[in-house]
Amino acid sequence: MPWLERWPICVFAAPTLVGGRWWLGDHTGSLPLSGVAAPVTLLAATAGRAAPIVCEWTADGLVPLSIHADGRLIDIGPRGGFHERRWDRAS
Amino acid sequence: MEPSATTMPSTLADHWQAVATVALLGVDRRPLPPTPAGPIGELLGERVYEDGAAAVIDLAAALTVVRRSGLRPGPVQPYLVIPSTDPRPVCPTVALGRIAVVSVEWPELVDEWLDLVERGGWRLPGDVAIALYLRAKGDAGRRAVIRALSGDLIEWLTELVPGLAGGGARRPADRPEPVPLGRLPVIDPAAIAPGLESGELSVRHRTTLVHTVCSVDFAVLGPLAEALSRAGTNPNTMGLALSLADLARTRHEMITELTT
Repeated sequence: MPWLERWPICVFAAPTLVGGRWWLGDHTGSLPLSGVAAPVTLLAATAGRAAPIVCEWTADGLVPLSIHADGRLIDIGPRGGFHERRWDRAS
Repeated sequence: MEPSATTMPSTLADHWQAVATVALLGVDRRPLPPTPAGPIGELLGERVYEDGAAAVIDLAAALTVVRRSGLRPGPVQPYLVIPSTDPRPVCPTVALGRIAVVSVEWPELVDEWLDLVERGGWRLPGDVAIALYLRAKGDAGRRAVIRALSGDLIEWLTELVPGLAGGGARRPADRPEPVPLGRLPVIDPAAIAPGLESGELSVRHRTTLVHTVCSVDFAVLGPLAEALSRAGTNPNTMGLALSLADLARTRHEMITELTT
């Protein structure tokens, strides 16, 4: 599938900041997160701990889509999931 | 039509865009970009194609391999210093769904919701805490409550992400600052539905009516919602009556979720 640029994956990893870039890592290695902005909701939901995170793998890095934390599935996708869109839209 | 000339793309991502464009437009309309130097050039060599479409597929495949293999897992990175664990149980899921809606549709109820969470001995999960915190920009009191309900998390986040402490959605210029509720009069809840029906109460009294519904005892909320739902015969106040009925119902459910 040469035209497919995104691939869904699920990792059990923790967010971390190295060299000014955000990463998802575990004891075997790390992958960069796509984009430069701090993944605030991802950080808040995991509190820096490892958690099951569903991402899109892209050539530019991982795009986090959702997190399993506190017994919930939390939508943090770039299209503005529940938390990114609804909360910010209202004043 | 002569295909337009193409120049050598500068990055791998540009190459991919150029090849994808050719694939979409067709080789008759857009010539294939030159094969990039480096591993892709070595892979395709001096291959000569009679069919432009085959060249597109080969170049796309080569680019895909290089781009994907270019994102292999890197070395193990040091973990962040994490905040201390908050021993309180997390707020019930149903209440978290409620605050997401309330925060948008009835922001007047947010402080009461936070108060109920505090009294219940729960903590806020991180994603909800930061969403509420960002929305409470300019409200130091509410931010302090959210900090207290999320342990060390907000402190940890604001240290980790500079600028977060001052971040958050700004109130649009056309939205007035809310009137402190304590300064508003309260209307007898039994008089609200008849007043809306008769036209004695109207949208001019909306702020006071909302404050009343937000202030009345829990036991009054159910009957009040019922009465307001039926007060829909006056076309001038029907919308307000139904809106207040929704507020009464929402507050009733919100309190029920956090107290039973």
